[in-house]
Amino acid sequence: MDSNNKEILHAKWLSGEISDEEIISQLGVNSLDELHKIVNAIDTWEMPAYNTESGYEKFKNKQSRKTIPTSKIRWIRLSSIAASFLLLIFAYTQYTKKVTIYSSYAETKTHMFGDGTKVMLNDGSSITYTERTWDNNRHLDLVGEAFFEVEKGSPFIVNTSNGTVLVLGTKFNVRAWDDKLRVECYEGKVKVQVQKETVILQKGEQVSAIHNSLQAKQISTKKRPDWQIGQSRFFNENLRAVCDELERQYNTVISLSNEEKTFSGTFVHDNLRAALESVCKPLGLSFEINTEKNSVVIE
Amino acid sequence: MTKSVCQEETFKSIFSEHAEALVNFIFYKSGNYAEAEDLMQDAFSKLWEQCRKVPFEKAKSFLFTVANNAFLNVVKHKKIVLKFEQKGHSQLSQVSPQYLMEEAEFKEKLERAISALPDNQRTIFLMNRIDKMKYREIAEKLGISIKTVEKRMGKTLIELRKISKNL
Repeated sequence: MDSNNKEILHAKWLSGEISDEEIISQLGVNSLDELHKIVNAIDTWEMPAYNTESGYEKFKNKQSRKTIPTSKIRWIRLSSIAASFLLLIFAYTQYTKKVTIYSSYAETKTHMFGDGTKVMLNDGSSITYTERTWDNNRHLDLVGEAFFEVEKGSPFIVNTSNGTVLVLGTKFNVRAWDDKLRVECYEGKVKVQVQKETVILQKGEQVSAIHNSLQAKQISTKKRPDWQIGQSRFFNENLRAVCDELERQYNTVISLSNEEKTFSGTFVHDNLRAALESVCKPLGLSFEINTEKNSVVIE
Repeated sequence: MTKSVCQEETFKSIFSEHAEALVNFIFYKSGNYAEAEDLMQDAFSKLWEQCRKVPFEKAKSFLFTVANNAFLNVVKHKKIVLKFEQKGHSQLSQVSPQYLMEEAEFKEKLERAISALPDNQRTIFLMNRIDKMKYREIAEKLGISIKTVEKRMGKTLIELRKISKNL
């Protein structure tokens, strides 16, 4: 018998696949005794029983320094929920993302919308709108003063803190500083709403609202707003408000000793000295320009 | 739905079923029980990390392979002497002191002979005799054929016979 067959014979006897008689006939009775002696001895041996409960606790404690099984699964679940929420929030904010366009002091800015509507922002003014929904929802918030050339389309709405202007397709100027609103219509029709009052302006008409109350309509022969031709025009305007406009146009700081006076007239946007003269002279005031401090004192 | 190793319930059942066999398996190789338990724990950590990649059916052979590799890499190979406890044999209370002495002597000889066997023979032999695993089970766990298991078992038994002859 070759060694290979002998090995298999032993293995199969050990596993019970070959009987004792087979071993006796193949290897002799002494061999069987030897095998029994060995196997009987070894089969009394035992290993300490392993406590799998405490072993598993130990395993979990070790893992908890990384991540314990349950928390890992929960963590994956939780994080996927959190991720979907973040995605939703991201999508929502993207969808409703608002765009703000500023013109800083001493700067006018023109913005063209996708539908061809043009907005010219006067100094220090800003508009805010939702870019994605613009085509169907032409709403914007205005702070300050802007001139609009609106293409025909869905209703065009300008919200200001002092009132709302609704238009279809037209050219108009909205001025909304402090608590005053002035709307000038240059083409088409404009509907101005202040609180519950409304007024419709036709071409060449303008209206003002002070302290949320609409004033009578006025006729104007202007082709464009004054600021568009480099001027500011006032009628019985508080001198402080006129100086605010000077500050915006020339990016300067004006201190005023007498704020009681009112001003009617215009000033230019390209020459500070000339502008100050046209404001101060009629009122009998004098001014001093400090170029270093970029400030003006009016007395 | 098939069982996923990543489910804690499933994972725990795998642990309950195979932790002891794994500790013993490494002990048969190293002769160091504490070290064997560490390597068993490490193997389960690996299984947990890879739970997505290891199908439930492959978990046990994964564990034995990882533990074996860790043993080969980590444990410095040195001569070992395995000692085993004996199950109580109260039915033999009447045996003579002479017999007990001979029996103890024989046990020690067998232990030394088994300890001197090549790792892969010794491990398989003890998995069969002490853990009572069938050849098929051993083959599955170690990823080898039943024929290989049989060959190693037979070879071991023949070598142990030579020892008993010298007694």
